[in-house]
Amino acid sequence: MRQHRLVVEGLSFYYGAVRALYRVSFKVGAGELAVVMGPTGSGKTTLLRCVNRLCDLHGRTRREGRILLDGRDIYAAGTCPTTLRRRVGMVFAVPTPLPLSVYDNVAYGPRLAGRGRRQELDALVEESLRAAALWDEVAGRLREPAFRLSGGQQQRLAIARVLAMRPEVILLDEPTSGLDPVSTLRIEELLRGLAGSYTIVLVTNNPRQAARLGAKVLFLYLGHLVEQGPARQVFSNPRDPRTQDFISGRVG
Amino acid sequence: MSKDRADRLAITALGLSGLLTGALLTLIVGHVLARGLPVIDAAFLLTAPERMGRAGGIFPSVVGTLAVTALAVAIATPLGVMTAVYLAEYTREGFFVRLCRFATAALAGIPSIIFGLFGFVLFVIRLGLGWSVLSGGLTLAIMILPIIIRTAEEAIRAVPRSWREISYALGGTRWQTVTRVVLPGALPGVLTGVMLGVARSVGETAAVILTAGTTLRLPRSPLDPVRTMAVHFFILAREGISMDQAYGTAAVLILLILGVNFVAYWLLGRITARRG
Amino acid sequence: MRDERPVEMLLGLVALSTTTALVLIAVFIFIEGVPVIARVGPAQFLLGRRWAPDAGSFGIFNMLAGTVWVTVGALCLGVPLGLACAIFLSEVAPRPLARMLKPALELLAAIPSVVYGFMGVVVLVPLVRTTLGGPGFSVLAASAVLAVMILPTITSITYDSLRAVPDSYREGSLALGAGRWQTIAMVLMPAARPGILAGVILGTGRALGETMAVLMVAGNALRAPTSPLDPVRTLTANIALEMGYAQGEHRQALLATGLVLFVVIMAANSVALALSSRRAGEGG
Repeated sequence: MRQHRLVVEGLSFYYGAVRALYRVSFKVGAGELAVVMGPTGSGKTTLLRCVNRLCDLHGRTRREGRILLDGRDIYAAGTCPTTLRRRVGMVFAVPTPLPLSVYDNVAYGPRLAGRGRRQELDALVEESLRAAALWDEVAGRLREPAFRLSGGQQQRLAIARVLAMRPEVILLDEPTSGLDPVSTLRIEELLRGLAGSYTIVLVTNNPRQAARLGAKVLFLYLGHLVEQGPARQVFSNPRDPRTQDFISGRVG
Repeated sequence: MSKDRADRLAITALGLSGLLTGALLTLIVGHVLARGLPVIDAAFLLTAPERMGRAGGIFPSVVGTLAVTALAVAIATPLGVMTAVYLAEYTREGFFVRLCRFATAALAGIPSIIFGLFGFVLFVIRLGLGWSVLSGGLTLAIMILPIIIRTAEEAIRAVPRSWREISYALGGTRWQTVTRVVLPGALPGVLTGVMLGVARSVGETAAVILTAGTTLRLPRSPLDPVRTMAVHFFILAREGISMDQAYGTAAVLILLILGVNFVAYWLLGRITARRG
Repeated sequence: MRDERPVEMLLGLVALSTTTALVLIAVFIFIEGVPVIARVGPAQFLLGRRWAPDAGSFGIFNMLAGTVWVTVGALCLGVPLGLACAIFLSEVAPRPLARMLKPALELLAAIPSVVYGFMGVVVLVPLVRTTLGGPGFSVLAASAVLAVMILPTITSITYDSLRAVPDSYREGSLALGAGRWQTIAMVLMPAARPGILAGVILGTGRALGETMAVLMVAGNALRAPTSPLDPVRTLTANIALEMGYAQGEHRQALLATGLVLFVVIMAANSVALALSSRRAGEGG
């Protein structure tokens, strides 16, 4: 049996009295690229934020169910969210460089983790930028402020920033929603290349992107996980009419 | 009277009041500078006063002002910034935060003479520090604390949430996030608060006269009394010692305060510019 | 993971600095001030008309009256001007002009009080003496100087609360055919009232507590004034004038004067703070 890196079991989430997720369960194998699709407001972002415990930062929330990373409950007592987040990287919807240079953006995570030796960092930054297909464009401008990069470059920088942590899982929250078609294709190409080496969970509200990328596709609708399965099956033969409506563009 | 005429009349009156305010500032600053600038030269700033300030310069007062102000800022800045960090990053609204906010706002509303009395009783008398740079600086530090807290907290809250989230998502602890992302982002605003604190300290008279003293000698240690420029100006003008010297001192004071304020608002402008 | 609780506790402790300062100020002013009030008797202290430290008589009524006269005068002059200024900046002035005047207003707040006092002495006092008579050093001169000094407080707080009124109110009123002035007077001012009141109260606090400027222009006579042209001594001026040489019970009496001032201003400011927090609460 294939080992499951990430297992979500009966996950429910509440913001105060508002319920955002209803007993969501799914598994993602090591090196697999899973795409969670669904219309805006279906709980996709909340789901991702639970997986690296960013949702801890909100006040007055409640969570039920378990999330296992390599078989361990990430919410178990004594689990440190900081350590967890070093293993589970997150790329946000809006490309946001920190107000630092290109180099310092990529080196930010490793430095936090205490890996500050110059040579090691130089190598790590270059390796991460190469892996994010950004090295050739920024090799000569590592000291420039990162906000001078284009939107597409900034998002690849965000990916490089995560890769520099050498995470096991990478979460991406609609990473191409603010980008033009060419930049979008570059990111998708990049993600296909990264799958295999990393376990990737990508969230999108665009069914076509899900079809282009996903090996495994999950459809989240108003907090319910309506359907999941191999991309081929979900798109050619959806079991639920709501999935059919979404992929044919009638919802969302 | 028709609606339109009433409207026009009211609007004109409002406009006049606005212009009056602008004119007041211009007149006050203009008058002091016009009479005071001719008095100022290097010798005025760098020599000691003669005959109780009738002639000579204001050097001991310049030094006294800088010493008292520097001490106040050096004490109030870390306290204020740490308080702001705690209020903005470490805690949620609740009794404790409401208490801190009330105390900060209340402290901001207390008149300087009360700070002076307090500093006199506690520092000068009870702690035996006497009229000194130390007593004056400590008193002023308490006085400018609310200014620094308020501007620093605003600046910290203005740092985009997304920066913090990125830092947390990359495995940053709260402290790492505060020191590496939040405070650097809030720095211009924090400096604005410090500058406003400097301006307030430099111009303060009532609190300083009761705690730092009025001695016209160059201070040799933090326990020596000093006469700050504001106090020196007050004494020159009040006792009619020398109008020229008074105008000169006032002009130095105003230039210093205007300069510090310009720096403060320039820094503030840089934040707004960066945020677009 | 490094344990962050010590850092958090340290920061929490530091955050108590303003509370500690406030408590310390209250405690020391009370400790020093209460004995004299207790010996003289609160009524005699507040309402006694004789202030003769050498003879051991401590009645602050005349200075209390002086403070009230000067403060009321400052409010009469400063509040209309401050409100008008705020309305002008928020509702009438073209944006570029408003952007120039707002910093000017804040600079007005940054000018040291001794400079205001000095301007009062060289400009205002002679003006009052030659045009209206009397010594010139007077309630009127002090009130006028204070009016200018509280202008920034009143204007900036009123401005902020006017800005906080939603634009839909303005549009709604104008759409019903109201003129600009009618809209301001009948819609915006009532909507911004708690904030405006807070501004006025804070301005009052500032006027009550101002010392050096008032001391320089008020004349400091130890009589209760009967006309705006009479010289007066305020509570604050009295403290600053006598603290330098006061000893023993005299010094304690001055601290007791400070205590009266402290209590009045804390009460006024608490009301103002409650008003402005209620406004924030309503805004959501």
